[in-house]
Amino acid sequence: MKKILTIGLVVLAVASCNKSEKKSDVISGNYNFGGSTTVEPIMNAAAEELKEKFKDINISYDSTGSTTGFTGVASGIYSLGGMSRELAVSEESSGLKVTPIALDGVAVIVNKASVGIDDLTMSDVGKIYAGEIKNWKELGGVDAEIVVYNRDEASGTRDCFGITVKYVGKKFRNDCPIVTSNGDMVSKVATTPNSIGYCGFGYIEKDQRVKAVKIGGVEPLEENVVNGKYSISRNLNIVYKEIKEGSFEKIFLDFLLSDIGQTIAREEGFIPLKK
Amino acid sequence: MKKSVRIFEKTTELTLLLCALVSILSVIFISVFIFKEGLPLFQKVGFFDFLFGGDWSPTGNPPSYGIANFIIGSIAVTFLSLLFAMPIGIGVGIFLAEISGKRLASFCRAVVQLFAGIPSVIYGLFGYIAIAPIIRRFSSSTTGLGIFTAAIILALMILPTIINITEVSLLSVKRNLREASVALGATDWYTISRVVLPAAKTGIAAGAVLGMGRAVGETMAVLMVAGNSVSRPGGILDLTRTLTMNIATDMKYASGDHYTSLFTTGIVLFVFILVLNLASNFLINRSIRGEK
Amino acid sequence: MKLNLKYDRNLGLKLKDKIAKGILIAFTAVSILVLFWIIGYILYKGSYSKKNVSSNFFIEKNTILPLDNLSEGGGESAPGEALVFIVNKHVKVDGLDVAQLKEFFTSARNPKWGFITEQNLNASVYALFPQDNQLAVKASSLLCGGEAYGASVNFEKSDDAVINSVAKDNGGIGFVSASSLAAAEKNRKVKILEVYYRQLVATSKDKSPSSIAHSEILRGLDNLSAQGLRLADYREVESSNLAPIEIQRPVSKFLLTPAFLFTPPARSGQWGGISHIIVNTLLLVFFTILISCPIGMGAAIYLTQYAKERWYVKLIRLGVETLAGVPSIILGLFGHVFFVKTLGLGIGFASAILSITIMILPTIIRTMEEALKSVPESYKEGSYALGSTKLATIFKVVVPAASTGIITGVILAIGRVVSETAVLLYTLGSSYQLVSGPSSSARVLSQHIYLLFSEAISFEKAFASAAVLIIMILAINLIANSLIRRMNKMQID
Repeated sequence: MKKILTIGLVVLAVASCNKSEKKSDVISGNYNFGGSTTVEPIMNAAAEELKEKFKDINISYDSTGSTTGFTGVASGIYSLGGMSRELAVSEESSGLKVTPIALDGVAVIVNKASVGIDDLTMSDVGKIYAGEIKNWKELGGVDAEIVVYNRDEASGTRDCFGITVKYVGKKFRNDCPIVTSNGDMVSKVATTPNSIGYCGFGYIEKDQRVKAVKIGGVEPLEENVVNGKYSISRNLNIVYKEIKEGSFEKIFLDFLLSDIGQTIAREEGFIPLKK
Repeated sequence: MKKSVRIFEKTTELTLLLCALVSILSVIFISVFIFKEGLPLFQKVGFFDFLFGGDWSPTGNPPSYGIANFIIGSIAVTFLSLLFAMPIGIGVGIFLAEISGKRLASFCRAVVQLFAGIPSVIYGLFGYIAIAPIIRRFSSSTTGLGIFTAAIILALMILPTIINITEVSLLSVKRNLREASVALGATDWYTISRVVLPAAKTGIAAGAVLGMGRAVGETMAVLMVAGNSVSRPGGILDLTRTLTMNIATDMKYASGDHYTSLFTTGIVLFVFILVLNLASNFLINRSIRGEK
Repeated sequence: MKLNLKYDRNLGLKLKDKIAKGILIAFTAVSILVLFWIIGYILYKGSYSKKNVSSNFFIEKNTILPLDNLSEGGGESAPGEALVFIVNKHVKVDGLDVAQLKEFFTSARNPKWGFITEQNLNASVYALFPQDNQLAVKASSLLCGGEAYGASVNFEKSDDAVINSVAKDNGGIGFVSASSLAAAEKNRKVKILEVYYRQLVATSKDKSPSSIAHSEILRGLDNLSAQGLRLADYREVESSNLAPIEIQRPVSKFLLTPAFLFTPPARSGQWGGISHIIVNTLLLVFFTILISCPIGMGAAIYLTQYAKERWYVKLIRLGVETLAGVPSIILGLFGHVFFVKTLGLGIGFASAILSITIMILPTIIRTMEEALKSVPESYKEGSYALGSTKLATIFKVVVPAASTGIITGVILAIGRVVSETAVLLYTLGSSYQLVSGPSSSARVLSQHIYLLFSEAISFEKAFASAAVLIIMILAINLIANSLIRRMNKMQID
């Protein structure tokens, strides 16, 4: 029994090693990308799409966060990094290049079944997140405590949300549950009565038990982000060092910006850069 | 010829010694690296401000690093889980050692072993999907997550440790003690509760401390059910973030001082665990010596 | 339950005694029940799922899509002026609605089945060439509104050619005229799709629910009209700009299918199965054991056969004890700063193996020590008496005699490796591709479960993966238990 197991494992190991050693005359090898969790779906989908063309490449995308995307590229761990925010002032001196590949709007979502409100002003949202409004009653809703979900300290989504919704001079209340991804945010808001949270547009539809509210009467729609009416939005960026013409990184980046790449971005729920 | 054999024997012994040294070397390396990475923040923020500061906003302006809330969270979750697990663990331990038949006991032991073998992600998943809705239903908690839920899950996770050690220390109580008690006309339960249990108390305490170590160090399961709020918990239904959760959550994004601060959190956790380990070692040694 | 009372029975049991014992028994029973609850719950949730799915179309068993202009009283068309849609049998779909069909035939790139079936499969779309006959022209005007077909659509001259192409292509989908229904049914590699083209609309604008249960519609038309609703053909809905009402229906399916186990994951784990993840897990276990066992074994042999109570031996024991207590997240931190950064191995397989090796060393050393200690002194003495050296005695007599215990130790260690997550978070990365080398980032089963859960990618898949993990753990425990039993028997002999 044990022998069979061992032999099986060895065969597996050898088989998987062989696979990577096959050489192709065009482009082959391992490519490690990584960074923002928000960008991950686009990168993975694009990688899978490109793999159909380039059979001998191995692309991996580590969803480790925007900051890691940046430091990973700077230290050479990743050749392309995903960032769901712009470079910080301290990061600009690094000489890394940034290319936007799609837009993302951040929608304010509430639990559909229990929250009757579907329009909030920016300052309402700010007050809710600063802890000054604690009950839906104060906004004309039912008499129930608002359950506020927030993202972790350094997430790009929180960054974007925090900059635009900043309630003058106030910090976020710190007694609310922290979730660490867009998907998690949606599933938490979906399952918690009277809750509010925020997530990228692409995630609203993941669960039908949440609804996105209008902000100051503006619906969270693609066109409203593009025409600037809806202000909680951000660029999704790819960060990289010098990339050579003809390198796979260049091909990948071009693919992301091509029509098909932009279709992928839309499929994953983001807003394409061009129509 | 003989000499070469002796050299061979000697080198083998040395190699084996080297193998044995790997674990102690690992401990040294772990300590050195965690401390080296984490200590600089103590200079920057100040030892007491870090430990007793209640504000954690590492990306704020200015950033502030205070892990008091997480220490409170860790302690609250750990003690509550011990509170749940101790009576049941000791009870099952007594049952296995003193009451149950051999066959039943070996079945139960297999069950306990399985308990210990279940991965912590699965405990977390179970806690989130099965336990949290129950808590939400029967309490004022809005999310169903928090200290209480985490403590229940942790209690399940440390149960095997407590059961095992209780059983072992009960079994190691000398037979003549029991016989003396029974001969004096004591009932079974009287013998167990007044004679055997006191004699095994050091061992059981060691089990509790060991369980505590596991609870403090557990990451994944707590991460999935404790709610991860950075504020100071006010009651057992409140959300909390423990030391381990702090490392696991922020590691994804942290850079600069924030990154260092996670290692500093690691130092606190590490020292915590070391103290608990030493305590349980001390207790175990004492209980062994007590037998002799 | 028969209580085995070890002490004098003559004294009789007092009530208090009975109560105390009752409580203990209850505690034990509860613990056992909780364990079975956990395992049962995960296995159940992981193998079977039932959830509400909403659609704009009414799901019915109708295989023919009428094409003609709408006549009074609904879509009754003669065969020959209607379409039949066929797919390759590999595609796990029973039917598609008109909106989905249009999407397939107008997509700018190769459409994916994943959005509908969660399979990682490219769709190859086959259509009849629109110039060829009246039917094909009508079909094109329906499927792409008179504009050109999507760039990825392949054209065939005849129904038979479409059937053959769809049969050949694992992700094939295409349409034929309804008169070729029989021919399509005969082909074993092709199945006829159900087409959903009727939608639910309100008869008056005043009261229309936002969604309605599928079972309500099944109860009959009278029931519907009582609620102010009716079923309308998609053409009518389109032409008169009606707003269709969502229809909710429960969909149940089995999750632990062979396809789940044997296909690789795609789209962050949303599509496909977990084959890569399982292989990665096995590889991680294999290499970790390969490295940690010799070291642990060596340490155990040293501690049991060579060590005398010197200070450094005490130190070694203290080291093992301490290491056993170090929380896995700390090991993860250490792995990240030491293996990943200082040694420059990067986030990947090598760093993960080394970090996890450190984690399981204490387990291995302890169990192997126990195993070696259980070998009777007489064996060794016999060997020495025959003139063997110490080394020969150890490797030819002691180790073989302890082999069952050693294997048990290895198996328990495997269990720990399989269930570990925290160490791997920041040493192994999160790519779900097959491991391709020491520096390649990867993910294993426990991590996959965590990521599916925490990124809320798919709870179903998270549970299904958890069920696989639980089954692995159960198997490992069973093997370990039977070995321990064998070992105990041997000792008694």
